[in-house]
Amino acid sequence: MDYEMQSRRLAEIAAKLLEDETVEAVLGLRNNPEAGWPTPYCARTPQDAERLVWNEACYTNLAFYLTEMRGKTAIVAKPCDVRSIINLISENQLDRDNFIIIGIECEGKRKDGKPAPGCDACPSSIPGFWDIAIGADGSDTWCDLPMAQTGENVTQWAKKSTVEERFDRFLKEINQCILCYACRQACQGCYCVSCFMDRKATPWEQIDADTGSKIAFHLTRAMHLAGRCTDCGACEKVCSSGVNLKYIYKGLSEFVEETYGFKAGVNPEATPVMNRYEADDPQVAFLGGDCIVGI
Amino acid sequence: MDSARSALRLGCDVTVVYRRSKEQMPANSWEVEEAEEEGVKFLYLTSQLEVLSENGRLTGLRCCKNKLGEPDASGRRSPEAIPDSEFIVEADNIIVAIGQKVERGIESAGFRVFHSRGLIEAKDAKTEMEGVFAGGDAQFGPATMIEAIAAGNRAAKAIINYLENRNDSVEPFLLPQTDLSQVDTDGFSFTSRAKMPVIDMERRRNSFDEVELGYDEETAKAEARRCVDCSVCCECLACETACKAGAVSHKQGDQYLEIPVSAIVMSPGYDLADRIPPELGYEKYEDVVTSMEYERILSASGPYGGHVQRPSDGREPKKIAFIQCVGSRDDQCEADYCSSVCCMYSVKEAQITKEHLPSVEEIHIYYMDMRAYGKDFDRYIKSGEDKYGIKFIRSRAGGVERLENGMLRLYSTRPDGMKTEEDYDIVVLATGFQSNPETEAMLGRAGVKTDRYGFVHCDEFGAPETSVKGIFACGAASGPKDIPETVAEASAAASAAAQIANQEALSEEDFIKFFDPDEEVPLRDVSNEPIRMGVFICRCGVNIGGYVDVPDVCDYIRTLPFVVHVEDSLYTCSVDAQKNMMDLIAKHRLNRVVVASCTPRTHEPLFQSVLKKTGLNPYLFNMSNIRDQCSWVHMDDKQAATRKAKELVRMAVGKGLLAVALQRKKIPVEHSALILGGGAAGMSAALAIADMGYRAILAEKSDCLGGNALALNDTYSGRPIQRYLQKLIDKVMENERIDVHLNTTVGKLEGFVGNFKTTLVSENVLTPVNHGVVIVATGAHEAQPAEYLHGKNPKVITQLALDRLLQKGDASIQNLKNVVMIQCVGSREAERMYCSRVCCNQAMRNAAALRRINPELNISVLYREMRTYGMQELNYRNERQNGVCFVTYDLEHKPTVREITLNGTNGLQVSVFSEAAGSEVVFDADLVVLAASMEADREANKITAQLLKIPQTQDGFFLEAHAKLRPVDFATEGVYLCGLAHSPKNLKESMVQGKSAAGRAATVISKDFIETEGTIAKVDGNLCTACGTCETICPYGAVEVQDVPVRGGTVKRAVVNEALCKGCGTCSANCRCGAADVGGFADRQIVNEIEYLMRK
Amino acid sequence: MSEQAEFINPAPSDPSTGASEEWTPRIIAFLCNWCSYAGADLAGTSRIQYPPSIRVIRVPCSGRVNPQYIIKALADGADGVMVSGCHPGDCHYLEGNYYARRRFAVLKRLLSLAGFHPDRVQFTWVSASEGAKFAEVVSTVTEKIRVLGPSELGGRDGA
Repeated sequence: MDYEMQSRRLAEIAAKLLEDETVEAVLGLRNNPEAGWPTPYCARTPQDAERLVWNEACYTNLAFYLTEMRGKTAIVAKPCDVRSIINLISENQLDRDNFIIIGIECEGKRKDGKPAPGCDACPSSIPGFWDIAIGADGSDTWCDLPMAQTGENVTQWAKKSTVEERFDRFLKEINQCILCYACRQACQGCYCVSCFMDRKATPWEQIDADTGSKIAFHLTRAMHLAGRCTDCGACEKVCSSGVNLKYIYKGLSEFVEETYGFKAGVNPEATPVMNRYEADDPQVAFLGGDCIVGI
Repeated sequence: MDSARSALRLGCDVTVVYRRSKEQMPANSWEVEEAEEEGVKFLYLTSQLEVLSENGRLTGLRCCKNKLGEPDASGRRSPEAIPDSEFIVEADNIIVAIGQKVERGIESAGFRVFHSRGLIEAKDAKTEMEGVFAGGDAQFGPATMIEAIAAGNRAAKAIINYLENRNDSVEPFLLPQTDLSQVDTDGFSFTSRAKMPVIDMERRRNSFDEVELGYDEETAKAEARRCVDCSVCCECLACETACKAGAVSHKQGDQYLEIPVSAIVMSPGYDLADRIPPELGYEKYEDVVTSMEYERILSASGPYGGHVQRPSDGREPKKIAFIQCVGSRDDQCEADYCSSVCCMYSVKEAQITKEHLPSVEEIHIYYMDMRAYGKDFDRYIKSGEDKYGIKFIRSRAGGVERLENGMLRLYSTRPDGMKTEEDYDIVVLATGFQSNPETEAMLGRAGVKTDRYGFVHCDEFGAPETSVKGIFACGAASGPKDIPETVAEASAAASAAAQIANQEALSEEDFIKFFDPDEEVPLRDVSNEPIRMGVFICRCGVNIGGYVDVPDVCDYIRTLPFVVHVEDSLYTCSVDAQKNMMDLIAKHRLNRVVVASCTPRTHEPLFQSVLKKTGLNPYLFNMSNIRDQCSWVHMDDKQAATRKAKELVRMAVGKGLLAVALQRKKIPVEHSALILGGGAAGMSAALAIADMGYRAILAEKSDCLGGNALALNDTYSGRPIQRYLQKLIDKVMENERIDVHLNTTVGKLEGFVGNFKTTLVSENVLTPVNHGVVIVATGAHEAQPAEYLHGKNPKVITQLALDRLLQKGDASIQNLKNVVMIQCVGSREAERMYCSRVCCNQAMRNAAALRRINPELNISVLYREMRTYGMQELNYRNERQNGVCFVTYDLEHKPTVREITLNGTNGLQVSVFSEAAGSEVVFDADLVVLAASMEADREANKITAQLLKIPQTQDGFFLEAHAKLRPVDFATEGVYLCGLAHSPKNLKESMVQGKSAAGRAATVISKDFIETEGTIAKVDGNLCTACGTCETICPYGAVEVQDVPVRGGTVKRAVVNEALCKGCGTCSANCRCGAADVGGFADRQIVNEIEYLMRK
Repeated sequence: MSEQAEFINPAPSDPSTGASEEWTPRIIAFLCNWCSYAGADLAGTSRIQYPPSIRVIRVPCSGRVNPQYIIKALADGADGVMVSGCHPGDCHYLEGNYYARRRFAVLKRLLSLAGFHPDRVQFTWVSASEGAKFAEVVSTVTEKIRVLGPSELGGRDGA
C-alpha cells in the first residue's frame, strides 16, 4: 500500500474536479489532531482539496454523509463505503447520477494497532463501483491485494457453542452497552427520521437503559439490518464502550446469503431480500418444518 | 293385589275369590303373577254366598262356581252361578274389596251435572253448567292416581281457556307413534327384554323389602343398545325449556312462501353417477370405493381422520388403482357423455395420498384419455407424474376380483389388445355426473327444456339462458363442468337476471322490503372526551358462566383504570341485552366498549352496529374471546380458565383504550365500464353491461369487431357461426349505451376502482374517458406451426385456416379424397406446456363439415389425447361411428409428413408409429390439417399488465385472483378478465366469461359510491423515508411513493390509496421507520396488549 | 421437532427441578384472523382441550406480525411466543404469509445467535379447518417451553 501516492493522486483528482466544477464538493477525510484520527471533510475549493488525506486510519464510512449532500458531489470511497452506497441506492436514499465515486483500493484499515473492525473480513480490496480509480499504488489500475480474511465465521461458532455460551456472550456485550445510540448514528442502514426507540407514538421501550430495553434495541436493530448490513464495522468502530455486536449482524448476513443467496451492497437494482419471496422458500422456522441449524 | 300380598307377608294364608275369569281381572297381569308366585291362592269364577261363623267367630265363606254369560252394559261378560256348585273356604278374616260409588251429595247444592250412570258428565273437563269443571274418579269412575292427576291438568287448562276465552287443546302433548316398519332396523338382532332380578322367595314372603333389584350396569347398557332410536327427536321438549331465549319452538311446520321475482337462476347441481358396472365389484368388495368415498378417506374430518387406510382391514395401502370413466363415456348405461372433472380429481386425490402417506409405493391411473384441458391442468398432471411418481396406464379396466390374501386383482386390456392383471390394496372408481331426478321433475314443471340426460338444454350461443325467458341455469345443472366454468356461469346468470330486473323498475316498497337502509345516526366526536370504557362480560348461558367465574372476572376488571362500568350479562348478543348496552352507553357517557364473549369473527359486526345506533364510531369497540378460546377449551380447569379470562379481558381493555375512531370514506363511482378487446367475449361483456343500464366503452385495436370468432365456420351440428356473430356485432353497434372505438389502443390509464381516467389513442387522436371498471378481453392468437412442412407446402394448413376455407366453400376443399389431421401441434410441449383446449372439438367440427361436403372422404386423426370433454364427447363418438380413423401417437414418436409424387400429382404422405398396430402406419393425404396451438399475445399483454398493475402467468396469459373461485376477477379491485386472454377456451365459454365479467363489474358500477374499509393502512408522512419497501410488497398496488407537495417544492412520501387497501398490514411490519400503520390493529395497540398482559 | 443436531443444547431440565409439572408457561400467540384464529375457534366449538398457556393476540394476517412485537414480548419476560398463519398459498391477502415466512426465519436465527433457546419462539401454519391440529400445536409448544422453564429475563418490574 502506498498511502503517500494515493493521497497525492486523490488531492490532484479532487482539485481538478472542483476546478472544472464537475462537482460542487468532494467528500473525504482530513487530519484532525483533536480527534486523533481522520474525520470527514467536505472540500469545496481546489485549495481545500489539499487537506484531503488518505492513510491506514481513514476507516470512517462516508456513505451516510453522502445522503446529506445537496449538489453534485464526489466521494472518496473504499470497498465497504461503496457497498453501503449501493445499499442506499437500492433503498432510494441516493440517486446514482448526482454523485461521482472516486474508488480507492484498500487492504484494510487499522485502529488502535490492530485491524479495524470489519476489515478482517473484507472480501476484496477493489470497490464494487467506481467512476475514477485510485489503485493501491496510486495509479488508476487495481492491484487486487491479497486480503486477510481472518474474520470470524459466526455460524461456525454458533454451531459449536451451547445456548448458554451464546446467551452469555450476548449478555456480556449488552451489559457493557450504555444505550448511547452511537452505533445507530454511524450506521449507513439507520436513516430513520425517528428511531423506534425514540418514537413517542409507540413507546416500545422506556428510557432507562435496563437490560430488557437494551436487548429490545439491539435485537430489533439486527432485524432491521437483515440483508442490509454491509459489514463496514462502523458500529463497532464508534462504540465508546467497546461493545461488539457486529457478530450478530454478520451471523444474519451469513444466514441470508446461505438461505436466500443474497449479499448486501452488491447489486443496486436487486430488490432487497426481505421485500421479496419465493413460493418454495425453505420452511426453516416452522414447527415440524425442515430445520436448519439453530432454528 | 296389594292387600293380598301384604297379608301374605304378615304370615297369613291368603285366598282371593273373584267372580269373573283371570283374563278379565282389572289388576295388572304382572302383579297377579307375582302374587301367585308368592303363594296367594286364586279362586276364579267363584262368588261369595254367605259368611259362616261359630259363636261369634268367623270360620269361613260359602261360595259357588260361576260360568261366563253374555256381555253386560260395560262390555264385560257377566258371571252366572252354576247350580249346586257350593263349597266352603275356611278363613279367619275376610277382606272385602268393594268398588266405589260417586258421592252425589253436591247434587243437593244445585249441581245438575250427573248423567244416568251416576258419574259427572264432562267433555274436555267442562260440565254443562257454565264455569263448572270436573275430573277424576267422579267423572270417569274408579281409575289410577295417574289418570286422576292428568284429569287435574286437563281441568286447569280448560279453566285457563275459560278465563282467557282461548280454546287451546286441553290434551297433553302426546308422542307421535312411530311405525316400527318404517324404522331402519338392519344391524339390530332381535332379543327379548332382560329378566329383572328379584330377591329370593324366602325374603319376599317374610319382609317388605323391595322385590325388584334393578338391572346391573352391564344389563342396563345391553338394554339401552336395544333401543331402535326410531325417531331422532323423541320430542322430550328439553331443548324448548333449556333455551332461555325462547328461540326453539316445536310447533313450527313447513310454510309455503310465494315471492314475486323478475328472474330465476337455477343452480340445483348434480348427482354422483351411481350406474357402476357390477363387474368392478363396487358392492361386493369393501376396498373398491368411489372417488367421493376416497375423498372422505383422505379428509382430516373423514371417517379415519385423514389416515389413509383400507376400509376392510385398516391396513395402510401400498398400491392403489384409479379407474377413470366409471359411469361416463359408457353407452351401456346410456351416459355416453364425458363428466369433464374425473381425470383432474383423480390426479389430485393421488397427489394428496402421496402427501398423507409417503409409504404408498405405486399409484396407477387407468384411463382412455387424460382430459386435462383447463388452465395449468397439464402442468398439474406433469408434476403428478414427475414429482409424485404417479403412473398413467392407457387401458380399459375390465373387472375387479378379491383374492384370498385380501388384495384386489384388476383385469384390463391395453389398446393393442394385450390383457393384463395387477393386484392393488384399494381400487378407486372415478365416477362422474348424472342429473338429479327431482331436479328434472322441477325443471319439467317450470317448462324448461332438458336434454336426453336430464341436464338443462342451453342454446350454444345463449348460455346461461334456458328455453324459458327469465329462467337461467348455471353450474352442473346444464351439463358436467369444472368449478371455474361453474363460477363463471353463475356470475353470467346473475348479470342476465340483473338485465331483466333493470327493465322492470323495482317498486319503492319492494326496495325497502329487500334493502331496509337503517337510518344514519350522526357519530359523535370523542377525540376530546376523557376515556370512559364500558366492559360487558358475557356468560353465554353456561357456555362461559359454567367454566369461568364471571363475577370474579367482573370484580377484577373494575379495578383497571379508565373502566367506568362492568356489566355481567347472561346473553350479551340477545336483543334486550343489546338494548341494555345502548342504555348503559348513554347513561355512563361511554366512549370505549369492550365485550368479552365469543369470537369476533361472528359477533363483532353485531356489537359494532349497536355502537353505531348510539352514535359511537364502531371502531371504538374491541372484543375478547373467552368462550371458544378459553372456557370451551379449559373445561377441566375452572381456576386456570378464570385466570386466563381475566388476562384476556385485561389485554382487550389495553387494546380498547387506544382505539381510535376510523372513518369509512365514501368514494363516488362512475357507472360505466371500459372493455379492452372487441372479440366475442368483449362484445358479450359490453352487451351485458349495457342491458344492465350502464355505459360501456368498447376499445378494439383492429378495424372490426369479432376477433378470432370471425374465422369460425359452423358448430358441430352445422349451425353457421358467422350468421350469429354478425347479429351480435350489429346489436353492439346499434346499442346506444355502447360506444365502440375501433383501431383504438389505450394510451394512459390512471385511477382505481370506481374512478379510472383513461386516454384512448386512435390514429394519434386522443380521447379521454372516465369509467368505473376495466374488463380485459384482449384475446389470443393461433401460433403458426413451423413443423410438418407447414408454410412450405400449401396443402398443409391449420384448423383455423380450414375453418375459413369451409366458411367460403373454397374450391380447394371440394374434391378431396384423403385428409389427415394432426393434433397437439405446438401445444403441451417445450415452451407451450399447456393444452389449447379447443382443437380436439374443432377437428371434430371440421371433420363433420368435410363429410357433409363429401361423405366418401376418408379422414384420419393422429392424436395424443382426445380431449373432447363434456357433451363434446358425443361428437367424438359420432365421428368414430362415421368411419373417421383415430390413431394415437406420443411425444417420442411424432408423425412425419413427406412430399411424394403419386401418378403424376404431387401429394403428401404421413407416417406414424401406432401403438395399437404395434408398427409404423402410413397415410396418403391430399390435405394435412394441423391443430395449431393457441398462444397469448405475450408482448401486448405485458403492456396492459403494466398499465393495470395485473400479473401474467408464465405462459403470457393473465393471472386471475383465484383459479377456481374468482376466475374472472383480478386481485386489484375493479379490474376483470374474460375470454382467451384468461386462457384458451371455446366460443361458448368465452361468451359466458364475458357475461360473467360484466356481472362481477356490476357489483361495483351498480353502486353510487364504494365504502373503503375502516381498518386499513395509513402512512405518517413525517416518518416516511420513501425507501419503497411498502410499494414493492403490496399485493394490491394500494401504496405508492409519490411526490407530495410540501412548503417550497415536493418531497417523496408513500401514500395509501384507501379504495384499494385491504388492511393486511404486511407493509407496516416491513416498515422499519414505523411510518406505515394499520387502523384497528395499530402498533401502539398491539404493544399495549403485550404490556397489559406482561406488565400489569 | 427442532432438535439442534449440531447446536449443543442443555439436556431437557428434569421436570422435578425448576419447571415443575403444574407451572404453565405464559405464551403470547399471534393468530391470523382468517385461518389460525378460525382454527382456534374450531378447536373451541369441537371442545378439544389444550393447556391454558396461550394468550391470543388477533392480527389481520401473519404478515402483520412485526418482529418487534416478538422481541418486545420476550424482552418483557414472556415465556414463549407463537405465531400462526394460513398455509402458504392460502393467505387471504395473497402474499402476507410469504413475507412473514422470511422474517420469521431471520428472526429465529437471530434469537438463536443471541442465545435465546429456539424452542421459545415457534411459527406454524394452521388452517381454519384444522381445529385438532391447533390444539396439538399448542400442547407441543407448551410442553417444549415448560421443559425450558420460565423466561431467563423473568417478568420485568412493571412500571
